[in-house]
Amino acid sequence: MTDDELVRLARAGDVDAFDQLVIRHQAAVFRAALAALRVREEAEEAAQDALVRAWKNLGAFRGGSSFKTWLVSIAWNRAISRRRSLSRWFARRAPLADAGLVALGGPGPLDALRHRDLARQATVAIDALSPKLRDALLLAQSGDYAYAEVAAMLKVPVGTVKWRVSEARRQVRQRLAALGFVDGD
Amino acid sequence: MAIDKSAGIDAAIDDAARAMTDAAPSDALRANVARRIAAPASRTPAWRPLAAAAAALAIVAASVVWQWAARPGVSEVPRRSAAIDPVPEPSTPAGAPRAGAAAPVPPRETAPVAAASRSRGRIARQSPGPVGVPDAVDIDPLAIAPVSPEEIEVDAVTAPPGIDIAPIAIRPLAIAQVAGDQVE
Repeated sequence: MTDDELVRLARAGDVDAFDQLVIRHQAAVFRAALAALRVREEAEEAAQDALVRAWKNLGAFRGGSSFKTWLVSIAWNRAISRRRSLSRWFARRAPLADAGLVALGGPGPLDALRHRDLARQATVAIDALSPKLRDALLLAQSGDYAYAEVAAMLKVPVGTVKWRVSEARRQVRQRLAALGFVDGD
Repeated sequence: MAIDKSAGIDAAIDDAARAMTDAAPSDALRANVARRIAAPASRTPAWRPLAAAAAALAIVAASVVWQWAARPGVSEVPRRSAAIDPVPEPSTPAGAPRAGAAAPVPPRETAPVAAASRSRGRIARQSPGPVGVPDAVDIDPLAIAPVSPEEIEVDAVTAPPGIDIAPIAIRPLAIAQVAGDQVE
């Protein structure tokens, strides 16, 4: 059954149909919130709010975009609203904790150490980006969204998303180069 | 999600960015969404602060009432009887006109007395009946009794002596009186 068919059933009050939509898209919704908030618990709450809000506003979905795009846009907006609560944002974000998620690679222990250091520094550099650049980079690299979906979430043209991703990469590369990480090492 | 050294710095950046959002939602997310969808509107989190405030208010009110009822000495307050502290009956006010006066309208001073009587009756009705409850609520309210004119002592006030104020003579100022050389 397609998303559109499930949406049609859910609009008629079919909770099970909406549950199927939740199963399909909860990961994308959660990751969008995580990209904005960077704290798992906050992202869970934002994702939950977004899904409940989507259920309540199914009538507002006109089908101009895919249901997934509409849904993750709601999730992004909810997450950004949460992020605007600055005290919570600055007090609870823990960007370095995620550096450990990058698996190690390389043939030897020195390479492993160097890769781990590179991953940690790359995370730090991404975290130091401006929110606009960082959001575009995280969403584009998450693997869950096409550029058009990222553009819908951020409410900017696709070209702007591509430029932000490219600029984010350039700034991170520049910061890493200042630390001695350059291609050809 | 290993960082491939041969892929260069860009790959490392992409991998790091991906790792920062590489997490799956918990199993509780779907269940929580289903629960919130099924819940009535009155159980949404927006009502929780109101419910908490109402509960806190009720607790404070109950605490105040309890402390007032359990206040030491309240039950030992002697009950004031009418013999000790008579309250004039509204029908025979002390300040009413005497013989010959046929004014049926009671003086204005009786209104508080009547109100006090009503108030006392109201308090008596509100007093708890069960055994063991102190009769602290039987305190008579403050009664305002009218005063007869004979009981009012008035000191004679004599008029103060007159003040002799001389009239002020206003004369026109002659310009010729001010000479130019007198002005500094």
